[in-house]
Amino acid sequence: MATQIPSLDDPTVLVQTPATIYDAVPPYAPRTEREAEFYTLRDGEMLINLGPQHPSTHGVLRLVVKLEGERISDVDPVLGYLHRGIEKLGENADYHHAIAYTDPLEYISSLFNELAPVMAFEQLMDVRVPRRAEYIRVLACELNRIASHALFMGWMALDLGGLTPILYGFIERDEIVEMLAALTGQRMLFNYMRIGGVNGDLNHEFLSRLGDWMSHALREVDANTTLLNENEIFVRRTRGLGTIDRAMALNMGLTGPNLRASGIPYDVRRAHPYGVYPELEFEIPTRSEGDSYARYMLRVDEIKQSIRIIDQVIHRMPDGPVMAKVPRRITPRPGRAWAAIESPRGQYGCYAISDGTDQPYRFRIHDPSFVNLQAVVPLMPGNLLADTMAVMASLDPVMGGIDK
Amino acid sequence: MTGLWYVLGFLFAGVSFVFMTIGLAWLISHRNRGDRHKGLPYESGIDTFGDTWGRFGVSFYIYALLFVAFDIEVIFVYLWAIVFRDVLVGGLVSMAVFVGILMLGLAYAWRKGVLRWR
Amino acid sequence: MSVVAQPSGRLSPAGRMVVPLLGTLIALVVVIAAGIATGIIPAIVIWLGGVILANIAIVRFIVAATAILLFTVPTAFVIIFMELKVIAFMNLRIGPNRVGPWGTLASVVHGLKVLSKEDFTPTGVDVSVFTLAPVATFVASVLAFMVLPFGPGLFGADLNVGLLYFFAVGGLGVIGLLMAGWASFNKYSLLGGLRSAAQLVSYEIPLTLSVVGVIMLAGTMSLNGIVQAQSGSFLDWFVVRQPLAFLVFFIAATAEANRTPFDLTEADSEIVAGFATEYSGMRFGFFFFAEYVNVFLLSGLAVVLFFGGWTAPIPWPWPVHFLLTPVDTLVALVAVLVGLPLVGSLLLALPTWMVRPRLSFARAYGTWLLLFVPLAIGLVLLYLLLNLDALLGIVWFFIKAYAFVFTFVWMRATLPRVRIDQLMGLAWKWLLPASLANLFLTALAILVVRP
Repeated sequence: MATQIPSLDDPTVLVQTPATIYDAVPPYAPRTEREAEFYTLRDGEMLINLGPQHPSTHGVLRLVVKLEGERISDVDPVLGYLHRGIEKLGENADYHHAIAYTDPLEYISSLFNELAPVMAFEQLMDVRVPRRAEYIRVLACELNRIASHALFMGWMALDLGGLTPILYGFIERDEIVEMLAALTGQRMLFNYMRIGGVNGDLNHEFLSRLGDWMSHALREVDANTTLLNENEIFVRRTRGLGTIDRAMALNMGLTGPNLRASGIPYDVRRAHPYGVYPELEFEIPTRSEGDSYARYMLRVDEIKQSIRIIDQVIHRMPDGPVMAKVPRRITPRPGRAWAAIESPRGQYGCYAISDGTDQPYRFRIHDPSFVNLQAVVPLMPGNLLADTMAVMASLDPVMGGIDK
Repeated sequence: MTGLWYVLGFLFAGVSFVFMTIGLAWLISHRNRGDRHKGLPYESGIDTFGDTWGRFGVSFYIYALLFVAFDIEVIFVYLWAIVFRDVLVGGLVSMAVFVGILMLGLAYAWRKGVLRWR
Repeated sequence: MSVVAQPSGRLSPAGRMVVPLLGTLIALVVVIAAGIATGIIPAIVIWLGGVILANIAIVRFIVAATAILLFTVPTAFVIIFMELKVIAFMNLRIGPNRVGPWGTLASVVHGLKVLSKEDFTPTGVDVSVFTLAPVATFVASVLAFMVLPFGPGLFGADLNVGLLYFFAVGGLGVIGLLMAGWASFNKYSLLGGLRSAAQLVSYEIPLTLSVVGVIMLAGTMSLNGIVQAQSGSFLDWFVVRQPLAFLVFFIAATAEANRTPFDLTEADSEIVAGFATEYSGMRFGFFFFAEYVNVFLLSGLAVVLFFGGWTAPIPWPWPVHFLLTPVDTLVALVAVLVGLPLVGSLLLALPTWMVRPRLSFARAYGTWLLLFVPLAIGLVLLYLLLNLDALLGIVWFFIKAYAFVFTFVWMRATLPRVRIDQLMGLAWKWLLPASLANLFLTALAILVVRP
């Protein structure tokens, strides 16, 4: 075994070092070549921590940034400040309970966190989901996608110093979240998806709220968008910044809006259709520039497509049950299953192995934010410190999903 | 002369106002030395690495040089502006030559790519 | 059931404040009457008057300095309240609504909170520089305040180099930010302080050069003289003749005041709070005190230079001049103030009381009094406004200045932040040539119009 290395966050290290000593390197020997290179400062360079407790790193991401003046020469993202061991918790719970644990993973869009495991477990058990349940799943998920993107639009502005759009985004999100609360009973961690269907049928309050919202949704989205994309400062700060070209995006395995902004029309809803998406009409918006502005505008386009999907779903909603017959205690045959869906941040997958007991033997979540966050390292060097926030915001990582 | 006394007087009044207020705050607020963590510089909750007061790459020093040149120019321009109605054409020509030389310098700097943040 | 008759423990909150006040008032009246009767107070007044008249210049300075220092406090409070409430409305929020009517006292409470908070000095800082930084920033604002004319004859000092002095002293505030950034022993603060220096070298030149056209038109650098050069209607304001200069000035002034979109030094989403990261308590408070004073200061300067200062947009076409001696005027004013409510209420209360007999006379009288007292006060104020140029000037000056303050707040709610290299590019590549072009255009225009 390697010698034990006192971590920076080890409390004894903090207590024992005198207050006035500030080492040029972290107080342990470099563990990798990359770390050794990173912590060697050239003349005029300095290291600065952005995060974990920083206003605009979207949770508790820590970016160690190497600065030369204001220019970033290197960056090192440090993860793990929000690790809760949700996958392991899921492996120690039975199949129904494991779903509930997934909610706080990517807390902006919780329904997607539930949908992927539920679909994987359904594959393990060969359950056939009623059509009405499939439609309700699509309806709820698309609403949640809009809620997530509306918040993204505000956050992007907040990270660039605009105060107002975040609140407009929250108004939009709040209407949707209240709607989903009427449907699921919870505003944030919905716990709505069930193996074999959904927890409850559409109710009157949900439908009336949905009707209200649909009557002005497109108008509101357009109004919120013009707040920013007609703003010269915003456009100049994001256009041409943090450009990801096609090759780089594919090499990194980016998915979701970040990939589509680079011109690759890959969307799980079309590429590997699930649910009732093959029956619905919608486009996969793409942009060719691949910069922060394209990533921002792409999400706006996605909101419009989601509204279109919701409109179709409401009109085609079939009658019938919302739950298949599923036993209380689930013991699937031994086997493995992989289910992937298109979450607001990209391809969200769940890999589950059953050993024949009532608990999953392996329960793994593939989170798109984790993959997308890789792009931070090649995108940052050469930019100014202020651009860190624009690039980070446009990649839209959520630390809950990254650290699991 | 009155103006100078006013400046000095306001300087004194302002400084004493600030110190009196800080002193009042010092009297009525609680104080607590805390442990060593309280006195650490805030860097997003992580101990700082490296020297804060070390060498720092100030990339805008050429702007600062240009700034000095133009700031001196401003004083001349101000004085010229006050008496402009007395000097008229001659004044305009001489000021055009003066500013023109400075602008040539700026154009040269611009052409050399100095007016780009590095 | 009179309030006074109750034991003080059972008084209403209002009564508990009124009773001691009444007692104090009665005691004061007794003491003053005794003083006048024995001739002590007249003697003191005469002596004091003599001393004041002998040292009128010093007294003027003391009054000016005290007034300006005390004026900065409510100014900052009002602007902070505007920032809370106006941005709240623009964000579709409610904003402060707990302390005072419509939350108006929220900013005062903030101020008191900052005053009573712990003023902590972190371990690594350079203590003397750390303490002097807010002093430098605030004193720079106060010094610049000295030359700002609020109304005719209302200014700290009318320097003949007023405008140059204003910019010179206003630029000193940046040194305070630089000191704070350096002394804090914090990398965010260091970046913030150096950003403030970078900001200074980019916007200071356009700011100072943009107003050269105004100096040429007015022929003086005294702010008082510049306002007088714009007297007349709003067509005489320099913004009409110098629109380009005003645009450049306004952009550069936003940068000078460290306001959005140029608030790079405290960019809270990038370098947390920049120069102010390590500050707490009153030393922190003074930075923001100075920032809000600066906002008013630059709004005031914009008004003085381009919007005619204290002059009215359309001068009152019929000057009111009553042919009365000052003593007669005073007597008439007091008569209006006292007599109008008493007599007017009586005249209207009698018919009211007669028509509605169930209404007690006192109640009818009181109701009409409530209407007439504001009316009388309003009439007196209107008279004073029309006759005292200073008062009217102050009102106009504040209306215009707060319109600018509102614009600054509005911009803060609307715009994202620019990047430091964009600010420098804007200043050197656009604002500087624009202000120089404006200078020569103005010179040519003067040559053509008045050879």
